[in-house]
Amino acid sequence: MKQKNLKKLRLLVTVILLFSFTCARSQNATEIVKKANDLMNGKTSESIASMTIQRPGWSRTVSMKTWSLGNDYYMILITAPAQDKGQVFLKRNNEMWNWMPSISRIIRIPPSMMGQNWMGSDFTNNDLVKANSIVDDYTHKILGSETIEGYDCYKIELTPKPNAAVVWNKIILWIAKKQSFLLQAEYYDEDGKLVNKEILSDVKKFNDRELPATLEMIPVKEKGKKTILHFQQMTFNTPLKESFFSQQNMKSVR
Amino acid sequence: MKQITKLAWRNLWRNKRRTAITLASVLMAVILAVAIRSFQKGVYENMISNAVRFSTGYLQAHAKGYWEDKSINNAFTPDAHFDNVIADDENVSLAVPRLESFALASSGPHTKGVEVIGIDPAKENKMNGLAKKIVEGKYLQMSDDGILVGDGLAKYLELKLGDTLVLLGQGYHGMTAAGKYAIQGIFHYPVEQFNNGIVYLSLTEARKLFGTEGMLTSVSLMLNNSAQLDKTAQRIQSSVDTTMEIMEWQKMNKSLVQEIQGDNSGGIIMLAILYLVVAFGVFGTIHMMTMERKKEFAVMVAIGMRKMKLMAIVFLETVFIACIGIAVGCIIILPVVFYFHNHPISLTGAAAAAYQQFGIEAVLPASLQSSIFIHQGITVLCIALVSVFYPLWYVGRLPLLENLKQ
Amino acid sequence: MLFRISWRNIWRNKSRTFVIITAIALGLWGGIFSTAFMNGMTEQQIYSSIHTETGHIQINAKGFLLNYDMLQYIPNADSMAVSIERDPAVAAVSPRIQMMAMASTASSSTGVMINAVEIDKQKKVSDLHKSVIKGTYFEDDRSNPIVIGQQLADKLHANIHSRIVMTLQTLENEITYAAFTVVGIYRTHNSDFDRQQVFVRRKDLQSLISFPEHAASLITVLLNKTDDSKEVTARLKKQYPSLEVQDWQQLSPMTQVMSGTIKQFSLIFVGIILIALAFGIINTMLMAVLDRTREIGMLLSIGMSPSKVFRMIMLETILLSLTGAAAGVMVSVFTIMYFNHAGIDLSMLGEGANALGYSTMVYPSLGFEFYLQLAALVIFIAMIAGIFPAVRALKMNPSEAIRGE
Repeated sequence: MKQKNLKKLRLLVTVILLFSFTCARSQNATEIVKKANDLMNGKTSESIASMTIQRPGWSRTVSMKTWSLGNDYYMILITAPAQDKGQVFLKRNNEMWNWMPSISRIIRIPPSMMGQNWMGSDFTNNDLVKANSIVDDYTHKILGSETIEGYDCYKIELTPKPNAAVVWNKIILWIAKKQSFLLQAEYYDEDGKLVNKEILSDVKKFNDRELPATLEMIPVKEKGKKTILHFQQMTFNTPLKESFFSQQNMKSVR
Repeated sequence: MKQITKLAWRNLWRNKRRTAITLASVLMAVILAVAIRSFQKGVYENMISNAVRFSTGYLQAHAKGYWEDKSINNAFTPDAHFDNVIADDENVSLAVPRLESFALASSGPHTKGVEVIGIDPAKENKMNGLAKKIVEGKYLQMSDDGILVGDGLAKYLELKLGDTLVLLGQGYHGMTAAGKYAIQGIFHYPVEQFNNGIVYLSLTEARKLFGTEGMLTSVSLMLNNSAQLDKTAQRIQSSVDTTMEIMEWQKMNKSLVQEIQGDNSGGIIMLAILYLVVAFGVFGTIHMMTMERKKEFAVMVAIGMRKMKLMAIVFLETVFIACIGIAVGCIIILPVVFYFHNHPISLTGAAAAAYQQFGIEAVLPASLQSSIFIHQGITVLCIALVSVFYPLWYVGRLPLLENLKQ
Repeated sequence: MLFRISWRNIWRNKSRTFVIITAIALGLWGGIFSTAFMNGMTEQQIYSSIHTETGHIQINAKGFLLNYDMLQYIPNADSMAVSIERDPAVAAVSPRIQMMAMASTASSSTGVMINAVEIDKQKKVSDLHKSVIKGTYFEDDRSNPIVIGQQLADKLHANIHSRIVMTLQTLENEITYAAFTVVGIYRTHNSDFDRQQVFVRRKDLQSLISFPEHAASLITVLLNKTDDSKEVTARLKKQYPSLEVQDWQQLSPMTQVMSGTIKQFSLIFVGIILIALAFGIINTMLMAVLDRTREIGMLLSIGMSPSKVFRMIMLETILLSLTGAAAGVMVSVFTIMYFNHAGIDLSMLGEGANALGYSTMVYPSLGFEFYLQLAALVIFIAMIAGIFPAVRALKMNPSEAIRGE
């Protein structure tokens, strides 16, 4: 009798341990991803960056200044080239607006444009709007470890939650274990085919943290296409209020 | 061989009345078959001509890859060589250049996605009568910087003549395309989508907007002779740069192709029914003719003509009649078809009204395509050849001498 | 007396008689069957258009169809549906929400038209659920199920159980995203329709865009008889003057155009068949008369008056026509009955036959009056056709005739 009970107890403990271990691991995975996301964004952030769009036959570079508050608000001011200078993009939650100084108009981007490429790049308007999607819309699981660019990384698999409004069937992230920044991401479609690859590199110290300064988004199926985002300056947790992110402010931001 | 031919030929003229009657049945078959097919095809040609006029033209020249991805980045710069090839081609009656792309049209409270088409106003009007569709304001000139808007769109955006419309979109190589335009004219098309989703700018203005100096997204070609479509397409394709693609309307308007095919299959059944009726006429005549000549055949065989020879003669007679009948039939029906090709039958009633609403002529024209005559001629010839089996079989079965007693 | 002679004359030369009767019967059959066929084609197109797309009558807020502005809705649609259903001429009513949205998958995105329906009601007014080729029409219990066309599935690289993200605008003018799961893929034979129209459950869309309950963008009404359309439309217009009420002819003017064209074309076609028939009769009767030169010459020489000969031949022609017509009508009735039941499958004639109003089957059909009209016409023509040969017989010189050709 006692023997049987002991056996049962041992089994129970093993199960509980395993369970909590798995839970802990999953929790860890989500936390890791959240940490990486927060690291990029901070409570607030400001940056100066340039985006180069590469295509077979031509390429274009756009310079910009950005401001963000959490994941819900941000503002982008285009500073170069001349024909695009002065344009401002504002995001408030799910909505996006565009200020065009050349025609003195603020235009709200309707649902039909949300899937369009932002400024001709490999990022869509949707991508810009749903920045925190990787934390909220997916369940996370640590697959293992890999070394990317000399950094020891967690390899994390993201699976969309049942009702999540996301197009990816699977995402794989490589996040540096110690430094917590994202170094690589792969985006997969319904058929399990790789569609987009994101490579981050060139780690530098920005303000109070270390982050990769360069981000490349590569649409894998199309040859010769790439968008490179390069951050020249980044500051975090500057005092930015929600009121900064307003349509009126779009016209005056410098 | 020569002897048989001579005999066959003389036989025909020996009994003129019999020959005439048989000839007449073949004639009728050809005339009716050609008439029906010609009207059927005429209707299709009309449908196609109207559909292509209001869209892509019979042929469209654009950069390779443009049709699959109609982004402004797939615009092309037409060089002198290209212009010359198009201008010099004997079958091209009109070349209509366009620069088009998608953009947001905004009037403040409302925003809507629209297709912006930069046009050469004179040529565009020649192709589809756009100028006549203007209900308010005036049509564009190449030098104008105003915009033409459909009445449905104007209503939705709550804009009137003279108001400003803002266009925002993606220009060449990712630059932002943005512009303000005064509404110079409001048009009305019977087709909803045109009214609600298309705006017209002069080519000059459109190029400014999208940053595509000197470029076009397409050149639509209207033809003098649409039957020469394939040849013309090949001719032009081989002369222009390999970066360009000359696309035929069938590829660009699949639903029209489906519609015509669907209608055509019904039409073929109708034609089959007609053939049954006329084939029987031909067969009946030949049958009766055979019965009539029972004695004649018997005599020939009795005096020693080999059956094979007789059969050959009878066969040739029928072939002659068939060929003459087909030729004469075609000659008779040709002017009729020609007349109705140039003066089509007018449709009446509700159908006509509906067509007119769409800006399409409500007519039933006849088609002049030579293939009609060839196909029907061959079919009638086949009918005659099948019918001739009866007399051949009869001759083959002839017992000698017995029929003389009749 | 003449009658008996004529009758016996006919049956003396069996093969000739047989040929003539068959020619007439065939001509009649040709005219009747082709009319029935074209009738069937038109009816098919109209039926498909009504039962898959528009229903007999559609009610919506004025101006809604211009831009599909979802703010233009019918607020009390459900109660309206209940009251309309009570009308004895009405078979079924289905309210639905219609709005434009962007559908995206990892491969691409495209604009679509969302139809948010009450499943049971929609099944009664539309046959679309019968065109589902993969999966089911909402029998799968998933959250936010969606049924899409094959063309759209191809464009988005989607399949059953695929996820499609919809970018929507709510009634509060905000943008929202929602994930839908494909539970069914349908295929009509209209590729444009397949590419654009998607179907979801009304309650799912309602909650996503804060659409008021019991309201709808459109109400589709299916009647028991198509002929009642104009009357019921007028009635509904009176009842709901602030809304737009349209019948199927106004909703799809192209169907009208097509059927009108086909009707006119069929008249021309039947005319041509009758010409062929008349000609065939003249030809064969002429040959018959000339064949009987000797016989006629004999009759004339033994004293039969030319007018009697004329009457005899006319009578023969009439009897032949009547027999031929009777045979033709019988064959027509049987073939039409058969094909009406079995249908003619046009898909063997070409892939594009699909465009024939969403189906490749044609069921020839014809009203009773047509049979009579066409039969009478054929007999009339046969008789007119018979005059020429009969007159020719009269012109014969008896003595020459006896001597043979």
